[in-house]
Amino acid sequence: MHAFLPILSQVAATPEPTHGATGWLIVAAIVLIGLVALGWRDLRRLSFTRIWAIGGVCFAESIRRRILLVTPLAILGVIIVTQFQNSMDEQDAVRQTLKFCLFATGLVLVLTTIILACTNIPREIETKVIFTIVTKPTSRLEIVLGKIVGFARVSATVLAIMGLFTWSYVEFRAWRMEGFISQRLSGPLAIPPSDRALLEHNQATGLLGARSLVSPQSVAIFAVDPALSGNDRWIFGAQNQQCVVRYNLDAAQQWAASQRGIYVSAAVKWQKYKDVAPPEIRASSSGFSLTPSNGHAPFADAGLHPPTVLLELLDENLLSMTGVSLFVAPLPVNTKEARVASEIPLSDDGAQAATVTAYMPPGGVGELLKHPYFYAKIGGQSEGFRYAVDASHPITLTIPANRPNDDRPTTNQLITVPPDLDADGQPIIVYRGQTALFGQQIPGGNADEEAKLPLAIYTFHHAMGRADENGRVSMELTSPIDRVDAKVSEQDDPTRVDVIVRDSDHPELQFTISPLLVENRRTAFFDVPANVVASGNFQVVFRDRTAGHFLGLLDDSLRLVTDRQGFTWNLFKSLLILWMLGLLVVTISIFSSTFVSWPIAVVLTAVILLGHWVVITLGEQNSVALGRSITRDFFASATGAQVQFVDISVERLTTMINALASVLPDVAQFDATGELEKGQIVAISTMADGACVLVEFGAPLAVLAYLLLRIKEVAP
Amino acid sequence: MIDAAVHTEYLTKVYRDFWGRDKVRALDNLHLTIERGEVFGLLGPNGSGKSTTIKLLLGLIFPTRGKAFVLGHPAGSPAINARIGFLPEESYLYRFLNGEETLRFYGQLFKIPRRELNRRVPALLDTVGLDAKSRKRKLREYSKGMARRIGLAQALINDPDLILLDEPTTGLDPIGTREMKDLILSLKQKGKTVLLCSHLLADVQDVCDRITILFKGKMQTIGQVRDLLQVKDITQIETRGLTEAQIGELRAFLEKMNAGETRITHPTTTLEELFVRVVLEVTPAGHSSVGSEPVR
Repeated sequence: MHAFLPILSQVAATPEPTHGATGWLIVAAIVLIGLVALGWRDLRRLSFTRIWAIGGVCFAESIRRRILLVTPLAILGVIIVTQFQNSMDEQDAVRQTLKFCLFATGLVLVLTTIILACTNIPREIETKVIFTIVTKPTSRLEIVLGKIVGFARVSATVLAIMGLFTWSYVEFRAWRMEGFISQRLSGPLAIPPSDRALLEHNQATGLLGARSLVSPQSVAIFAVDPALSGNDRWIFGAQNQQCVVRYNLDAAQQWAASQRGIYVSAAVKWQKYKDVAPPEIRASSSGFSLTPSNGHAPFADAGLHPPTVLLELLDENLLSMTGVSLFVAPLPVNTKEARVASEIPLSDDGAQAATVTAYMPPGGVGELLKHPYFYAKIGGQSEGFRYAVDASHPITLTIPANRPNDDRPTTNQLITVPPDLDADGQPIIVYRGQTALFGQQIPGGNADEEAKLPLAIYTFHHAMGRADENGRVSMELTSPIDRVDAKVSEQDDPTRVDVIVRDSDHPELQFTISPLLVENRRTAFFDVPANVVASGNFQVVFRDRTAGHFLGLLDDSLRLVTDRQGFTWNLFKSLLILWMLGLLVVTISIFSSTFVSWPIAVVLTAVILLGHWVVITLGEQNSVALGRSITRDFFASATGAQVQFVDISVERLTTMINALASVLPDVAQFDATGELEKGQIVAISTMADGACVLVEFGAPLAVLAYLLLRIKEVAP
Repeated sequence: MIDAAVHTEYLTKVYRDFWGRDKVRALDNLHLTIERGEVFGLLGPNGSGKSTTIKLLLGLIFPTRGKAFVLGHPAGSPAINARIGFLPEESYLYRFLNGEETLRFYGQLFKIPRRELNRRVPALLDTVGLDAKSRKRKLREYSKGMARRIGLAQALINDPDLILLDEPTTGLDPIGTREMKDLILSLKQKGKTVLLCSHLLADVQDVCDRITILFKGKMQTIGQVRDLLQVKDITQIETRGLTEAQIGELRAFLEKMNAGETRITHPTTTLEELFVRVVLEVTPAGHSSVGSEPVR
C-alpha cells in the first residue's frame, strides 16, 4: 500500500508493541471458536469449487467493470514523474524510478482493492443478487472465502500488469544509465577519483543487481589497536571515549542492592600521550575561575588536570539517569568512608593499574531498578592522557556485605555481579567513541599523529562473504562525515580512510587498503581477498587520515556482501509482499463491509490499516508533559490537584490508545520497497514478517466476517 | 421426522427498528404444510407476508418466533438448499455475465460436474426459450422477459425437488406466461413440489392444486382451488354442435323445469389463447418468440 509508503518508512522506526504469544493465542482462539465450535458444519462441507466459482464472479465483475484501466493511468503517472526526478547519480536515478513504480503499484493495488472489496457485499445485498447465492448450497464461510479469493485474483492481476511495467521500465532506465556510465568513463572529461571508483563499481556490478548485506556484530573505538596492546584496552581522555558494560540484576541481587547499595570499580592504567597547556587560572567576566572540576590540585609537573576517570551508571539507552544522584560530591578514593565519588583522580604512576571505586547508595538503586537493564561506564576525563582497562574485566560491579560505615557483624556475603551476556554467551562490553548526531565518530589526522587518534574496529562474527570469480569479497562503507575545519569544509575532497581487514584469530592474515576514498553518506565500495575473511570471524579497522574530517560510524555503516541476486526475482518477491498486503486489505474490507454500509466500511478499513501507526505516534507523546502543556495552555489558573487530574487523565488515555494499537495490524511489516530501493535482496524474513501479519490479522478477521455474515439477514 | 415439502409452526416475523423496537409484524403465527408433489399457491395483497414467508423458508431472514422446515430439514440450511430452486420476484443476477455463464456459475455452486453442465446448460436454455444468440448476451442487455427466463433456468439448474417461484409470470408476455404455466405443470408431473407466489390470480388458478390467502401476516384461508372456487348453487352445462333450434328446445325445457334465470351463450376464448395463437403463427420454426433481433 504505497499510499502509505511515506508513512511506512516512519512507522518502521517506531517501536513495535509486543503481541508475542498472547496475540497468537487470541488469533488461534478466534479461529478455533469461529470455525470449529460455531462453524463446524460449514467447515465440513467447505467446497473449493464453490469458493473458486464465487471468486471467479468477483474477478469477472472487476475486470468487466474495467477496473484495470487504472493501471495505464498509474503507468503514465510514473513515466511523467520520473522525467522530473532529481537524482544524485545513475544508481540513484534507477532506484528512484523503481521506488516510483512500486509506489504507484501499491497505490493502485490498495485503492482498487479497498473500493472493490468494501462495496461488493453491501452492493450485492442492495441489488439482492445475494438472494441467488445464499439460497444455493453455499455457506457464508464459502462466500467470505470466495470473495477473498476473487479479489486476491484481482490484486494479482493488477500486480502482474504493474510488475511487468516496472520490470520493463526499470530495465530500460538501467540500460540507458549504464550507457551513460560507459560514456563518462571513456570520455575526455576528468572524473574525480571517488566518482570514478563508484562508476567503475556500477559498471562492473550493474545498476539493478541486488545483494545481501550483513552488518558487523559490533563496532568499538579504541585509542590503541587492541592487537598491539595485549590485555589492555585503551581509550583517550577528554574525547568522550568510554567503556560500558551491561548488567542485569536478578531478584536476589536487586533485593541486596536495594538494601546495601552497589560498588562500581575498575582497575585503570594511564599514560600521557601529549602535552597539554595547563589551564590558566584567570578571572572571568562572570567572576568564576577555570579550575579542575573536582577541586583537586593540578599535576605539578605540567600544570595539567590529574588523570581522572568518570564512573557512571547509564540506562538501557546509554543515557545518564538524570534526576538521580548516583554519584555525587567527589571524595577521596579507595577508602571505606567513600560514600560516593564521580570524577576520580588516579595515582601518579599510571604504569600500574590503580583501582577506582564508586558507591551508589540504596536510594539510587531504586531508580536503577526501574530500568530493564543498565550499563556501568568508565570514561577518561583528562586531556592528554589515555587510559587502559582490563579486556576481560574492565568494570566490576559488587554488592557489599554491609553498607559503608556500618561495621556491625553480618551474615551477608559480598556479591560480585557478572556482566550481562549476548546471544553468543559473551559479556556485553562496548568501547564507545565520541557521539555524533548520528552514531559515533572518529577524528582524522595524518599518519604521524596516529598515536593521538582513535581507531574504529568493526567485528564480524560468522559472516560468510560471497567471493566473486576473482576470489574477492565485497564490502561497503556508508558514513556520515563532519568537516569541522572551515577551510576543509570548502573543499570537495573525499575523506581518506585507511582500512585493515584481518582475521580475528590470526591477525597476521590481513589485507590493507590505503587510502579508501569516502564521501559523506555515499557508499564506498571495496573488496578484499576471500581468504582473509574466509573464517567468517574477522575485524575491519578504520583510521581516518584526513585532518579536520570526522568519520561517522553507525552500527551498520560497514556491511559485507554475502550474496547477489538478479533484479527479476527480487522484484517478484517485492510484489509478493505487496500482494500479501493486498490480501490483508481485502480481508479487512470484507470484514468491515459485513456490518456497515460501504462508505463507512472504506473509512473503517483505512482506520484499521493506519490505526497502528497513528496510535503509536500519539502514544509516543510524553503523556505527563502533554498533560502539563494542556493545563498550561488552556487552564492557566488550574490548581495543583487539577493539573494532576489532567496529567493522570492524559496518561490513562495514552495507555488506552497504546493498548488499542496492539490489536491493529502493523502495515509497516509489509516492507516491499525498503530493501529493493537500496539494491538489497528482499530477505525471506521480510516476506515472513508480512506473512505473519497477514495470518495474525487476516485469519481472525476472515472468521469474524464469516460469523457476522452468518447472523446477518441479507434480505432486510 | 417431517415428511412434508414445507412445514411451518407458529412462524412469526417482526421487523424491528434500529433501537430494537417492533416496527412491523410481517408474519404472524403461520401454520402451513405443503405436501410433496403439489403445486401450492401463496396469495395475498401487497404487504400480506408472502415474500416474508418465502424469505424465511430460504433462510434469507430469520424468524422472530416459530419454526420452518423444508424437505424435512430446518429452513435455511445450505445442505438442504441443494434440493431447492428459487426464482426471486425480479431476476437478481449478475448483469455482467451472459446467460450461459450465469447458468454455469450457479451450476458450480451445486458442484455439478463440468461434463454434466455442458449437457444441462444448453438444455435448460432451450427449455426456458433462450436461443443461441440470447444466451451469449450479457444479462444487462436482456429484456425483462428474458431476465425472467434466465432466472427460471438458474432456479432449475440443480433439478430441484422444491421450487419456490415468486411472481414467476411478472414481466412475461402471454406466450411466456403460458410456457411458464406449462412448465409448472410439467414439474408437477415429474413429482416436484412448487410453491407459487403471485398476484395474477388467473395464473394461480390455472396451475395450483391448493392455495392459501394471507392478509396482514395471517393466514385467512387454505384449501383445494376447485373447492374454494366452486359456486354450488349454479349448474353449468357445456356441449358442442347444438343448432339454434335445439338451443330453443333446451331453453323451453329449462323453463318447464322452473330453472330460474337461465343464460345460454357461446363461450369466448381468452385473450391469452388468442395472443398465443397469433404470435406462434408468425414465429419462424426454430426461433424464440422473445427478444429483439440483434442488429447485424
